[in-house]
This record gives sequence, C-alpha cells and structure tokens, in this order.
Amino acid sequence: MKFKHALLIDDNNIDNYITKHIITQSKKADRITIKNSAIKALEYLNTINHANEEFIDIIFLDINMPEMDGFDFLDELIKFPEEIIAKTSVFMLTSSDHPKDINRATQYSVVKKYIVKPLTDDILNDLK
Amino acid sequence: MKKKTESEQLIIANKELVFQNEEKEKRAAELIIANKELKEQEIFLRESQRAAHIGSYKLNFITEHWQSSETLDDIFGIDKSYIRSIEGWKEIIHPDDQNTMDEYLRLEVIGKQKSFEREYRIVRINDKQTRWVCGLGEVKFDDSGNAIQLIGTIQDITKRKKTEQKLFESKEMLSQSQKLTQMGSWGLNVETGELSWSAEAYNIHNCDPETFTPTPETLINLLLPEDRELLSNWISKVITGINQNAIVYRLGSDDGTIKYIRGEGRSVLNKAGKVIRLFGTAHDITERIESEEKMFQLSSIINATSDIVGIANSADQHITFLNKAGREALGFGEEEDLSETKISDYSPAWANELILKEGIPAAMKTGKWMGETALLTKTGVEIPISQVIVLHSDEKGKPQFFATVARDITESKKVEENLKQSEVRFRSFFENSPVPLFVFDLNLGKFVSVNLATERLFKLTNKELTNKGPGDISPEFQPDGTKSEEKIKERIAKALNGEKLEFEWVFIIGDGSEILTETRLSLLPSNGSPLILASSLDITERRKDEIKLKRNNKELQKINAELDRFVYSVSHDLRAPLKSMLGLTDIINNDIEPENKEQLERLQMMKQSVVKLDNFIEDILHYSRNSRMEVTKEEICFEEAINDIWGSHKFMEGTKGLKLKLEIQQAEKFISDKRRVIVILGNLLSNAVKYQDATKENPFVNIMVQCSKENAIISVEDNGIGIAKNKQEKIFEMFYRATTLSSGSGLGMYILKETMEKLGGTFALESELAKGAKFTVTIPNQLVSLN
Repeated sequence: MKFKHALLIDDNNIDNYITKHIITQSKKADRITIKNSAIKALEYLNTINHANEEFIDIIFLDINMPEMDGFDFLDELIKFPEEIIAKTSVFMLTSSDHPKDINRATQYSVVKKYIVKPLTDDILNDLK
Repeated sequence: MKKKTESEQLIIANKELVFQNEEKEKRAAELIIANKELKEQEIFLRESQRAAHIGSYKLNFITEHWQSSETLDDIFGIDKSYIRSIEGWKEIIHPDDQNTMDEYLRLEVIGKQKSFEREYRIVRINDKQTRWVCGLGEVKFDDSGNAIQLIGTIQDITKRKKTEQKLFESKEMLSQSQKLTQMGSWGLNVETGELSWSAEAYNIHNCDPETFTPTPETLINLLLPEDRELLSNWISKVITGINQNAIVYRLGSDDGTIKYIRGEGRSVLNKAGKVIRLFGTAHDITERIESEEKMFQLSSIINATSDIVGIANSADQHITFLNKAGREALGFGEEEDLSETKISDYSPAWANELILKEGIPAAMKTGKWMGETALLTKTGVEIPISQVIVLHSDEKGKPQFFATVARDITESKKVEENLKQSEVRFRSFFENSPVPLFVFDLNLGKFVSVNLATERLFKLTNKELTNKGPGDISPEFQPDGTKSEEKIKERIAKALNGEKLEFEWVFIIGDGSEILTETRLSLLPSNGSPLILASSLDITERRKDEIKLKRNNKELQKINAELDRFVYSVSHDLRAPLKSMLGLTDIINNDIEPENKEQLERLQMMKQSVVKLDNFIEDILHYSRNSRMEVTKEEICFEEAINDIWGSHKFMEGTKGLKLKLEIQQAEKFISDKRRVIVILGNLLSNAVKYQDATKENPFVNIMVQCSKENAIISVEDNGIGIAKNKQEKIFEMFYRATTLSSGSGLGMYILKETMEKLGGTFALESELAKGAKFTVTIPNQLVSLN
C-alpha cells in the first residue's frame, strides 16, 4: 500500500530522521510531514482541515512527548469529523513496549498498528 | 361347694320325707276307717297304734270325759291317774293354740259337721315339752244334731314339723345364699323332661319365673347363638351319665352386655343304673371373668414394661414376684425360682442400708417412698435405679408386702455425669479464659458472672462488676456519636432474637480511661431470666497498629507507584536512545557498500551491543513487572503466542536455519496471565535460539503443548549446546550465566522461575551437555476459577 501524505509526530528528531529515511527509501509515501510536538501536529491538521486540503492518510505517532503525549493527541484527533478520520490510519511508533501503553493504544479504533522502535524496512513492508 | 352338696342332700332328704309323709298320712286314714270298723279289735289296734305311733281317743260330750289309748297317753305324757275331763284335755293343748282349737272345734267341726283334721301343738304333761301333733277325728251326732262324741287319732308329728322347719330354713338359706353368690340351682327330671329352677337361677338367666318355663330347649334359646350347640351337647352328655366338667356359656342382653355363666351338673342314677334326675348349679361368673380379664391385662402390662416391678414379703423381705424386666435385669430366668431370694442379696450394701433405714420406714409411715438406689445383678454389676416402694397393709394396718417399681437410670446417670463434667469444664474454661467473658442477666439488669480476664480488662473487682450493667461502664456517647444507652438496648434486643453480634464498643474502665473493644454478644440458653454472654477484646492497641499499618501501606503504595513511574520512564528514556541507535545502524548498514566488509562488521558489533543493552533493560522491566503486577486471567492461544514470539524481529536472525516444530494438543481453553505466559515462552524460545549448536546439521526446536482442564504442560526441546548437570541448578539464580556463549543478562531463567511462582506452576529441566535441553513447564489452567 502506498500513502499520499504521511505525518510523523515525535519529539526525537533522530527518530524522525530515521523514520523519514526508511519511508523515503521504501517509497511508501508521496509526501512526508514531520512535527516534533503533538501540539504542532494538531495545529497543522487543523490548518489543512480548514483549508480544505486533502487530509493526512497516515500518522506515525510517538507516545512519550512533553506537554501533549501521544494519547492526548489521539483524544484530540478523534474530535475531527468522522469522514476525515475514517480515511486516516495511526501507527503508534514508540520505544515503549509496556503492556499498559499497548492496551491503551488498541482502545482507539483509529490506531491500526503498534510498532516498537526502530522502524525497519521489514516492518514497513509488512504494513498493509 | 360343700354348702352346695349339703343343700342337695337336704333337698333329696326333703323330698323323701314328703313322700314318706304322704305315705304315712294315707296309712293313717286307712287306720281310722279300720278303727271305725274294728272297734273291738283293740289289741290289734293298740299294736298298730304303737307301731305307727298314733294314739286314739274317744271324747264323750255328754259325760265330758274322754278315753285314750296307751300310745296317746305316751304322746300326751300322762298316766292312768290323769283326770280325763274337758279341762284336762284343754290343759294339754298349747296355750297359744287353745283359742283357735276351741273355735275350730265349735264352728267348723261341730257347727259344720266336718271331720276333724288339724295340726297343732301340745304341752306334754310329764316333761312339759312342746310337741306337734296331727289330730284326725269324726264327731258323732244324735238325731237332733247334737254332738255326742268325738273319736279320733293323734299322731306326734314333732319330728316331721322340725324337719319341715329345718327344710324351710335351709330352703330360705339356700335361696339367700344363692342370691348372694349369684348361684342358681336346677333339677331335671329326665323322664318328664321337667326342669326346675331355683329363684336365683331365674335371676341369673334374666327370666321371670311367672312367664318363663324352663326346659332344656328354652334354656338353650337364651344363649348366644354360638354357645347353643355347646350347651346342648353338654346336657345330652350329662343325661347319658357321662360326667362332664363345668361348662361356661354366655347370655346376651338387650343392652349389649354379656353374662358369663358357669354350669355344673350331676346325674342321679336309679338302682338299675339309669339316670333319673340331674341336679346342678348355674353360677354367674361375669364379674370374675371381667376381673380375670383385667388381671390379665394388668399382668401383661407389668410383664411388658421395661420398668422393674417386684413384690417382697414385708416380714422376711423375700422376693415373691419379679416381672420380666426385673428378671432380665438381675439375671434370672423366666421360670427360675425366687423363693429363696432376698432383697438384700440383690442390692449393694449402701442401697440396702438406704432402703432399710429410709425407704421402708417412710413407706410404712406414708405408704410410699421414692429414691435413687441400685441393684446388684447375679454377676455383681451395680445398676443405678430410681425406685418407688409401696407398702401394702391389711385392714388392721399390719404390713403385708412391699411392691416396688424401679427404673434403670444408668443412661441418665451417665448423661448427668457428663453434664456435670461439661459444666465443670465450661466453668473452668470461663474462669481461665484469657478472653474477658461476662454474663449479663437481663431481668436483673446486672452482670452475674465475670471472669478474671474481665476484671483485669475493666480494672474492677468481681464485686464491683457484678453490681453494674453495660450502661454503667460505657461513656455517654460512642465514637460514632450515638448514645450508648440506645445502642445497648438495640443490641441486646438483637441478641435476644438469637443474633450473634460483633461490634466495636468503647468502655470506661476502673481508672476512668476509655478503651476501644471488639465486643461479641450471644444469647445463652437459660430457663429463667435471659442471659447474654459478652466477650470484649481490647483493641485500642490493635487499632493504633492498624492505623499505623494503613499509613504505612499508603506510603508503600505511593512508593510503589512512584517506582513504577520511575521504572517506566527510566526504561523509556534508556531504551529510546538505543532504539534510535538501532535505527541509525540499519540506515548506515544499507548505505555502506557491500565490499566494505570491515565497516559492516564493526557496525554489526555496534548493533549487537545495543541489542544486548536493550535486552538487559527489557529483562529488568520484566522482572520488576512480574514482582509487582497483579496476576490477570485471560484466554491464551498458544499457536498465536508462539508464532508471534518466533516471528518477532528480535529473533529474526537467530531463527534462520533453525527448524521449529510446534504440536498443540488442546481440549480446553487455556486461561492464565497472558503477559507472564508470554514472558515464560519468550524466555524458553530465546534460550533455544541463543544456544543453538552450530556444529549440528539439523538444529531444531520442538514445542509441545498439552492443555487440559487442569493445566497446560509446555515442553521446549532443542538439540542445542545443552547444560552441564552441575550447572542445571544454578541457571535459575539471578545473573548466573552458564556459558561463555551467553550474551544475556543472566536474568532470563531467574525471571522464568519467579514468574512460574506467581502463576503457581512448576518446571523441570532435562539436559545433557552438547546434546540439547528440554524445559517442561506446567502452568495451572484458571478456567475453573474464572467460571
């Protein structure tokens, strides 16, 4: 599967670099946007929503982030209109494999996958 | 019986006498005629008179002189010199009969010209004896009808009269005695079939002598139908002269009562041996039969009762009767002779003394005595009994015999003894219990018994406490703000209902301080005033400890949560850079030219170091999670779990060329703590992967899962490097690494062991160095507990 527009949300710039590199290499996405905070990412989504631009179809989301963490972000995201959300997939991409986090993430229907860092070619290729 | 035969004889004698008398009378009449005809044959007459003891006379009314025969002189007790005048005649007649005789002679005999025929009394002249005589005579009249003379005979009938009188008396006596004894008599003339009954016989048979004619047939018809044939047979047998035993037949009556009659009969034979008469008696024995029945009932009861009933002679105290229960108790056979048996032989000495000194004197005084004594059986066993002695005296108050009714009280004695013991035990338990126990009497409104522990708890003496009720040792209010008095009422009411109460209560003790107690109330069984048992434990200290414990617990919880957060963030913060490094090495790896092997190798080494550090952190996380997290229950699919682990990126390189064989035999769902089971499986698989034997041609891992309702048995077998026997124990120690090939932290097996403990499972290891290893874990299935 190929994505039109991927949004990477992670406060760790190195990880953003790695993820972007892997996605670019695999050519899975036409366009990649990187936001190093969940707040900025939310602002960005609001902007494109208001501008009636095409919405993001895939989000790689970290959990541990200052100010607004991955779950706070998810709580805001699901407030977007349903028809928009329906077209969007969220992949959790985090260094945490704590069961509590995994469990909590699966509560959101918008979350389609939980990936423990680092993202590799193999994992990406397995995504459908 | 004797009386009866005498009566019979009398009757017979009577009949014979009457018969004789008749004969004699006939003869006398003939003689008179003969006298008339043969006046001159005086000698003959005299002889005849003498023989018949009949005197004759001739009274001349004109000369007023009379002549008498020798026999007559003999009867009158006179001699030749007696002046035979009218006056002399009169003098002989009994004074009481003179007037009637005078009247009879003038009015009847002379007046109506009748023959003289009269029985009357005379007073003999010589010995003044009163005699009965029978006079017969004829008066001669002249032509003008004047009486000229009276010629007649006189017979002394004193003997007959006496017999008659006797007969009358005996008849009367018979009749009266028959009435009294309810015995009737009867006679049957066999030839005529005539049946004669005594008055009482009518009575007995409920018949009226006026209307009822007794014959064998009418008698039989009076009987109950089922007895008729019996009596009929009996009569016919008696008639033929066969002696028969007495017969008992029954009469019914309109009111439904039944009369029992005992008949006896005897036949009288003539000289030819033929039965001419039957005599017999009929005796109403209804009362006897009824009392016999009652006696029978009573004796049945006495013999059937399990109580011992005995009778002893009051004079020598020999036992004269002992019922079945008594014989059994003492060891006597049913028919064994008791005549030589004394009460004292079968009582232990103390009981004997009690009976003699107390029992019998009391029975003699009041007629009855009750007490507890004992029997001694033949074999010498003492049986405790409860005994009643009753004294029977005759009319004059002289003691006749003692009757006793006794009951074996061995069982109740035992029960009593047990009760006593348990009472003592309970009392001792109560007194010595370290738990303060006290009993509250509801009617008295005070404590009635308190134990030592209670005295100590309340710092009050027994005397002080038993003068108080619960209100006196409670503050006005309890800690929850309610009035103590109201709560006491409420709780006592509940306790009275049989509820067992347990509550906290504050008391004020002797030194004025308050103590917090855990108090229990329960109703005690009681016949009188309701009793409530209370026990109070001083929990003032315990409560302080509890508060402290709670505080500590809260702190611990806080620390735990903090630790959790700490571990989480540390692990995240430690692992995040590692993950970044791994990602970067992958990118670099792809960018390095394949020819630059040296660089690639270095990069690989770097990656290995990072993975090792990450695994170590993961192990620590697993360990800390296992030790602190609750065990959960959810369904586990072995195939999915094992494939997930096997396929995870961590294993990717190691599993290349390693053959996995998975066999699952599962009849039931498996329920356990999924995360922990995965940690266990992960550890087992990672060991199998890590410690492959590179020298072997076909490295393999065989996983076998057998899941039942009780447990899952999972074995992981490999043909890896194996574990030396001497190291097999140690691998479960923390940070122990059995081989230099180990790249791990030495925590894996330790975590496995700890996790198994949490799950309540067991594990076993079979291994041989260089050959391979087989781990078998048995994890309980929580399927049942989940349901």
